[in-house]
Amino acid sequence: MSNVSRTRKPYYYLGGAGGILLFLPLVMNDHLLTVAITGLMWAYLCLSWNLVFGFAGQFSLGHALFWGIGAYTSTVLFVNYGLTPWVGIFVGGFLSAIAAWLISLVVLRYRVKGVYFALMTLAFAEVFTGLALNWDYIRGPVGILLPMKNSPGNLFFIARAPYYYFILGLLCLGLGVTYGIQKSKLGYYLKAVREDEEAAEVSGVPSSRYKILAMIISAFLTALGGTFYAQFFLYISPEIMFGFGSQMTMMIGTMVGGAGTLLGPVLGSLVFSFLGELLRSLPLAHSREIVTVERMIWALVLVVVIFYLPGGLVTLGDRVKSRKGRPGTS
Amino acid sequence: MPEKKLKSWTMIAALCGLLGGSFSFSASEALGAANEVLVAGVLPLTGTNASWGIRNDRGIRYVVDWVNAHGGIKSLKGAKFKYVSADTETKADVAGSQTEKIVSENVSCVFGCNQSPGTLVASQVTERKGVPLITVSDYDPLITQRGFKYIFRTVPVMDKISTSVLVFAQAMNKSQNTKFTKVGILCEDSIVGDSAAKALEKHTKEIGYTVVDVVKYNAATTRDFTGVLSRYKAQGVELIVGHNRPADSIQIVRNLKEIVFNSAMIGGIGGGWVAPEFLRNLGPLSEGVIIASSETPDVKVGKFAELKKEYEEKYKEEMPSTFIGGISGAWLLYRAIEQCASTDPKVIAKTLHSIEIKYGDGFYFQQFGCKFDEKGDNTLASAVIFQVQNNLRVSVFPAEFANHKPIWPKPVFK
Repeated sequence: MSNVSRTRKPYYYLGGAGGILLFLPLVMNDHLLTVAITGLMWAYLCLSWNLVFGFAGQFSLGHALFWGIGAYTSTVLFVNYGLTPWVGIFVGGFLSAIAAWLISLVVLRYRVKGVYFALMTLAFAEVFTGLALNWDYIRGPVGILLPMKNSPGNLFFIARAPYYYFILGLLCLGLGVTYGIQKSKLGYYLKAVREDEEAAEVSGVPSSRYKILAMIISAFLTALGGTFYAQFFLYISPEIMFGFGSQMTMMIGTMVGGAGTLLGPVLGSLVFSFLGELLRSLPLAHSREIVTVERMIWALVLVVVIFYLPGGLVTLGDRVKSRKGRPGTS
Repeated sequence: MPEKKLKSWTMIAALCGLLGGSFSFSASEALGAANEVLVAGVLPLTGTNASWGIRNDRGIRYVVDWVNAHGGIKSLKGAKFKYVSADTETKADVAGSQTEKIVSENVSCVFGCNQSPGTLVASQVTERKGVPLITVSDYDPLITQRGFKYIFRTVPVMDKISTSVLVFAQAMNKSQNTKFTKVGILCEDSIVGDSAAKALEKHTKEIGYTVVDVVKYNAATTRDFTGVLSRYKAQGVELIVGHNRPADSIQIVRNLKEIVFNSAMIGGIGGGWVAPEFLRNLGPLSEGVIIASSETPDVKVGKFAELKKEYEEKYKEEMPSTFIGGISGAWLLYRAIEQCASTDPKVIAKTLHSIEIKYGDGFYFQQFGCKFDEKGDNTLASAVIFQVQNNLRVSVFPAEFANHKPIWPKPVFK
């Protein structure tokens, strides 16, 4: 795990970046804006997963479950009962939090840790996938379509910009929560549990209570992202929402950027979102071979980052500095 | 500004320039010259559906090249097609962002996406921008149920294509004086798999046959069907029907052979059953399998025979239905542009709503021609049944399109 203190950068950089982000929709076309929205959404989800993995050291493979619960709750409440997704988003968040609490109780009751914890969370996600696929009330594998219309009261927009600002707001919320945790007693306790759970307990840290709390907060935030996905793409299905693909994206973004840091997951996720798009945009005649080469470049970059920057992209600056500081270098 | 900071900012600016340059270069590349008509395929070139997307892409390219080599679009003074394809990676969100990119480059028409969730997302983008999206292989009913004006589907909806295998079985029972009526449904748990299972169950009951069971399996994790097929065998199932992915359709037939389950009919609906991999992997094991599709592999109409020969020589595989879908869709677009003499997507969409293409016209080989209703569904679309005979797919039903007599019931496994 990388050291949180490494992210202690001057905050006017953050302010500057925030300012640029606010004005981006004015200069971007719809395609780039869509890429930016998707990138920010994954950055937000990586931040949410980072709370459990990066801070609490719990390798959850079941976060697609919370993402799916959020999306399905707000969508079903809107489609079947007319409840605005502005409210549904929080209902989904609370339901996900309850699910996380129940899962954590089971996991802690049987003292499941490490790889077994990962497999158990994956198993819970699989159970829900099976349920969603066979539950006609939520239209099984067919999925649910949302209407394409401009209705801000129901969180539907024809333009891309409102979605951009919404997900930017969610990302700020995720950053705020992460920063708050990082600087609070909870953050220090979680780090203690992550580094050595037994030592932390001996020191009086109730590890179970804080691990559950981290899981609940993370699940709540992840679910908000699920509702955003449904409102933006206007179509959800068990394959999309509960599939392992979203979990993979959360993991890759977080680990590549720097788990356990404030900005690492955001950085990793954005870099890989834009890298993927950049590779897809290369002026090459498309054929199967070229497409495969693009994917290989993407994978190669991933391997290089993992090998040479084990602390994540967020440690790149420190690594460059340390190389410069070596004798014989200018 | 200190030198170190200056260097950092220069590097950041250079990186931004590189990123922006690449995006803009790609866009200007795609815009092409004034006498070009830009069309795009947003297709799964990687991922689980790549097998279909790549062949679809080949079909579109074939017609584009053919038109360009034969003087271009005559009503536009010989303007040439320019075709670009974008990979969806078989992901709905990537299909959305790729479509956004394509439509921002003044494209006249989009083909997509060989994956129903991708098409559902991509069609929202094309609808907002007023660009027609032609789908030549997505059967999901939801696609055309949203009141969109710019979506066009050339293939029949899943209900129609699914029930055709039972219509065939019913006709065979009548003509051959057999009584095979116990149906076992086995479908993947995807959108189209679910639609197929529901349609099959409903139609089985409507014609008075018995539904022994409906099994929807997890397509991501199921690799063996011995359990469910053994149960079907014990329950006396006579007609096995389903919509499945390529690997699953192959495995189902292998498992049937392993447990020596000789049902009267194995009826596959589109999907993996029409993929070239099916015949290539199974060889003689696939003898007698019945397959429903909207494309026939052995019609004797127009340019079909020479096209088939050309494809098989070039790609060393049987010409697949997804290729036929690609060429049919591209030919439909070509005819529409010839008719309206415009590259304006809205004018093209209007023409698509009114145009009628006969089966066998040029490169249009999807049964039985094309005429769209107000929702964008093809009112002439229908299914044809073919059967594997001597390691070839041959059309056997309905009678007016049959080139061979059906073998009924299916021969036992050797």
